[in-house]
Amino acid sequence: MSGLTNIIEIINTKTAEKEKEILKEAEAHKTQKLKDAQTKAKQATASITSKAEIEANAEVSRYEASAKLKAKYQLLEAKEALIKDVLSSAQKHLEELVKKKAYERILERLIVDAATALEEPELEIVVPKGHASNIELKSVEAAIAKATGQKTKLSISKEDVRAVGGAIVRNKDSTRWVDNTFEARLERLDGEIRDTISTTLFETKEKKE
Amino acid sequence: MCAAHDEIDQIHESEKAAKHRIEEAQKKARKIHEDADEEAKMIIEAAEKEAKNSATRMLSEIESRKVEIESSVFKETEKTIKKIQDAAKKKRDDAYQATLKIILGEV
Repeated sequence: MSGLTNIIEIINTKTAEKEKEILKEAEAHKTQKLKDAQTKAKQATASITSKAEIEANAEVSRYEASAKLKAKYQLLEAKEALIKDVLSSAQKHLEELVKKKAYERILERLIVDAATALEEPELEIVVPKGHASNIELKSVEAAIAKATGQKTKLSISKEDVRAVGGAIVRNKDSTRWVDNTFEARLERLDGEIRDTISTTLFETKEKKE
Repeated sequence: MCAAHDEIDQIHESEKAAKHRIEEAQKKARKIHEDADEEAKMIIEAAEKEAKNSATRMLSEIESRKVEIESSVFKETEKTIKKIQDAAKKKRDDAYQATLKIILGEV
């Protein structure tokens, strides 16, 4: 091999090596670049999907909680309807009751109950229009005396009260009174009545261990 | 003298060709870099697009999940209400009598 050929051969070999090196570096760069892109793509996918998943689950949870709350209200409404049904039947019964003989005894008991609470020597009774005939004053006075151990003088007021039944019992100067009309008792005892109905209708017997 | 000039010329030619080959290789490498950048960009964009589509699908599926929840809760509530109503029906008279007793002062 001559000197010239040798020099040219060296140039070609070096060139080929350099070429190879340049392309190898470029391919390596490409491989790394694509690898990084795949990683970034996976991260982006995970981030977007996870965000959407969290959002979707939160929305579904909110909806579920709202649906359960709505269901709770429906249950309460259903229970309220059952309570109202009992109350309505009781009110109807009271309207019929005042036309019956048994009402006299009930009215007497309501008056005695009021008089016992008032503890006054003289009391006036106010009843719905036409109900005065159901009161036997002497008998009621005797019942009050028996309950309180004190003598009480009763009179029936000329006024009347707008009510289905029952009576208002008050002292002479109308400064103290007990409203024992059915309506007033229903209002005053509403909590107790509702609790009783609720307990009776809805309480389930559970074995406590 | 002439032969020596020829040899120098040949060496110059070789060097010139080598320089050209290196430049070509560098050009090729630049192209590989550019293509890789473009391909990487496309990979990320495609993944993001697919993920966004998947997210949209996921969010649109909420409606069907909502319908399922509503139906299931409604069904369960109806069942519970029916159970309560049936049980209450048997105890209605007791509640009614107890109510009258309170109103009429029998308790």
